[in-house]
Amino acid sequence: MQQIVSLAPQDRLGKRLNNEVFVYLAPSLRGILGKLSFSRVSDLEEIRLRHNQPLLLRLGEDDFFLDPFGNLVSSPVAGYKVTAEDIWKTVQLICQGSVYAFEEEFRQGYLTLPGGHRVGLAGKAVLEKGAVRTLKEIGSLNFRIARAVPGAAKPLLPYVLNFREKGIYHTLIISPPRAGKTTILRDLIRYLSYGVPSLKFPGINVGVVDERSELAACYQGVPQHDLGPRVDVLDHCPKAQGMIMLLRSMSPQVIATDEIGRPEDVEALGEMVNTGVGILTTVHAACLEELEERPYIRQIISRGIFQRYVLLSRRKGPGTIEGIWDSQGNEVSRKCSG
Amino acid sequence: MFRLIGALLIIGVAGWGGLWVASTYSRRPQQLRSFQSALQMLDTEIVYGATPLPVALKKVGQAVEPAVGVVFQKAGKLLEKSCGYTAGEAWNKALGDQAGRTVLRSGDLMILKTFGEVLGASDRSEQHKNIVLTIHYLQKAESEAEKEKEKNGKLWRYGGFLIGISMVLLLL
Repeated sequence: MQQIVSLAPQDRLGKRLNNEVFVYLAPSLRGILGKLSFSRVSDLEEIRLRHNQPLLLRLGEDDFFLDPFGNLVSSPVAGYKVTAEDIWKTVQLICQGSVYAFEEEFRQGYLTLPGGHRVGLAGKAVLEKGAVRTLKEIGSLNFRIARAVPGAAKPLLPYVLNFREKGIYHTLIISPPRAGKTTILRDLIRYLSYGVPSLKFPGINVGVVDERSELAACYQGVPQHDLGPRVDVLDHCPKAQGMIMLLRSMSPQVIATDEIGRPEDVEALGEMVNTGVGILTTVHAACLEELEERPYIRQIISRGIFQRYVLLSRRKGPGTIEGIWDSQGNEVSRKCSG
Repeated sequence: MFRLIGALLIIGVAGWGGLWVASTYSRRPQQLRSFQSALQMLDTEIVYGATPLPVALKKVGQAVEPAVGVVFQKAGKLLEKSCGYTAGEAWNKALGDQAGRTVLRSGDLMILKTFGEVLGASDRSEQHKNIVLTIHYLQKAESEAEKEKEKNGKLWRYGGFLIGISMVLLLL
């Protein structure tokens, strides 16, 4: 019954997915995914499990259902129907049979697997004094495959590095969902931490406030992504609080964080900007105009906090750099592929 | 001479058999107590430490008598290996494999099996309730086992020898 599906040894990504993701799936689902052809495994971005619905995979830009024989099909009727037991077993496996040990993760609605892969959860919210205490009766799971793309941020380096002061310009990466903003940010952090010898840029200390455990993807306190030798990570910490904590405790030269947007984030950024620490962060938006419609972000822009704005899209695949602007709105560079 | 040796042999074997049966009566409450203390330790690991089960089970398994500890250790190892077992399945497999090496009755094993159905599958307060309830049932089983030990333990301790002597007398 408990058989681990083996993939062709030549397929390194397939093997990685087998060891880091498929082992957390219920044995019945693991068996089906193990039959998926290797060429498609490399495109795998998401595995979606929904109670009584067909097993859904996102491969690159497309969605497919998976039938019981591991074939990709477009008709939901032919797809393997995920049972309550499949979901229950998968939940048990991702928490090593210890749901109680992941109460905080259940409250947040996601948990991180070794390798930095992310599992999103949806189910019945249990409320306590009006706030979500935990989730139960889980009905949907979304496995998001994490991929570090070394070199993804390379085209940005000449524009965001401040060579004179051996630091970075305060940079805001703007991107719609799934356009590679976290991947680019992670790669930028890695470059800053290791240094860029080809550009004669030495490594600098970077403090990372990883509120959603996406950047470093810490698993039991250990970063699962290689962020280099000069990175300190505050995992699961609220951004505003974490930025101040890192500034006081770890004397970073750059503070990096993902997805700002709340009023307290804006306030904390305002405090950070005059401390001599570089700021590297991201925000959700499809274009600059959209950004200006968000009151708190508009406030940051009008204060001229950021010296570089980088706009990403999926036009030529995730991580396409649409343009880089300075604080005055002048374009520094345009249309280079990430 | 041969008769004497034969008679001593019969009394010895019957006596040893009686002592063995008597020992099962005295080991049962002991093992039930061991399970209770192991569950109390597991409760501390779960409620105060939120320790994941693979670690918690192995830790508890090392601290109690081997016949009981093996169940916890084996279940912990099965979960750690990520070989597709839920906590309940790992517990039941470990319990089933080890059951023959304990002196527990089917009723005792049923209590432990029921415990496994909820193991690890809910939040800390639910886990605590499950453990407290299981300990309560094990205590009841233990007091019943103590009574049986008092009643039947003594009987078998001497009964084996008496049966042996009776057999010898009959054969003579």
